[in-house]
Amino acid sequence: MAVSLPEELIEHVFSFLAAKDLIQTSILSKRWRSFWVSVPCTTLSFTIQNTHTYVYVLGWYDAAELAITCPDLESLILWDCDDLLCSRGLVLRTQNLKRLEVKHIVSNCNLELYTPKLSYFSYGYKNHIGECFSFEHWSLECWFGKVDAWDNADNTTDVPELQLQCTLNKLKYVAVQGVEGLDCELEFCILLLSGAVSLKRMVMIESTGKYFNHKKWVLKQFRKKLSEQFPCAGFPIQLL
Amino acid sequence: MSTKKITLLSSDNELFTVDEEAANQSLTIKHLIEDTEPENGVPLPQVHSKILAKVTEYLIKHANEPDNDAAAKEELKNWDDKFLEKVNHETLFDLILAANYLDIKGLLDLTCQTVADLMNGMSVVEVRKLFNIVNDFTPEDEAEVRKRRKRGTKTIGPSNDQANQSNH
Repeated sequence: MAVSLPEELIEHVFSFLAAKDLIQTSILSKRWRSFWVSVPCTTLSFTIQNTHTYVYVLGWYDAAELAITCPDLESLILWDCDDLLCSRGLVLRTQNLKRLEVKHIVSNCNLELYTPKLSYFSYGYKNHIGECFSFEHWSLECWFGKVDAWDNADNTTDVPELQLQCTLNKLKYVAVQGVEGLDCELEFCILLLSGAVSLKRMVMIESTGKYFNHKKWVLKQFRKKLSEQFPCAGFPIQLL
Repeated sequence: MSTKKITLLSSDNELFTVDEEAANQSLTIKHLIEDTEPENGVPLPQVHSKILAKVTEYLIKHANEPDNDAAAKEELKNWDDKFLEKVNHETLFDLILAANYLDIKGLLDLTCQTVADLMNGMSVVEVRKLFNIVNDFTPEDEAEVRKRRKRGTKTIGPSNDQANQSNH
């Protein structure tokens, strides 16, 4: 090609790319490796699932560089990011991020959030969240690595150690989906509620999978145990 | 009603005449007229007549941009789409350079958006070729990525399939 554009004009061209294509520009060369994080965008959503390219792209970054620092980012949806999240962890330093959804996570992973404005957080798998500041709405699915435990009662699945290194003092609403009445879920709820001083409403939605009838009694036990832990708690816990 | 005409002079000495209002969309031309009051056309030594013809076509069309008329806006948008439809990569890049030099924001954004759309579906190699970008990553970088990827695929929880099954 005879005509070539100066870098500032290539930057201008790249600033018109959709987020998923924009991230791809980091594998062009060293010059473009970190460019994408500087482009202002309000919504970023990308999929990492057996797509060599994206893992490849993000694999270039050291933990600190992997941090998404888009200052204007308001909404982030991460799909199937196991590869990324469990091997590297993800650090989010997004001043204006309001909504974060991490979907279909089934692995142990590390997520550090420095997101002072985050108000909605939805997470597919809970193990460790570090240094969250505050958010009010939390919707999560309970997997806890034990989804197939009902097939083999003797099967002892490793329960990841629960950690919660964050301040949940502004958390007001929690919805936990797919509750199966497991001990680790109870442990998690206790851990969660012990720090949530301004919690107003907690909704637990039981899993309605094919084993539903088998575990009715387990859920009954679960409710009982939960009310034992929080006998006169100042917030309604609904078990739907 | 008579409007003042502006003459533009391309790098290969071809003359283009447009209304002042159309020409003023280019801040560079506007300033050149204000500062130098050229008599024999505004000299634009960086723009070839082939490109300047396209630029003036754009300037004339966009001279009176509709403010509130939705139908007119739609028509203009369709015109923009058609305007760059059959333009090849090289001309497109020339137009970007010209729009940048002449400081015509609308044209610059339009042409850059068009290139960005073209990139959709291109491979990394093709994009590098398009922008003359040299891949300067070392083989060590690549080896590092492979290593990390291997480690990354080791999952601790159940697989996606299991999770989906049990969720129904």
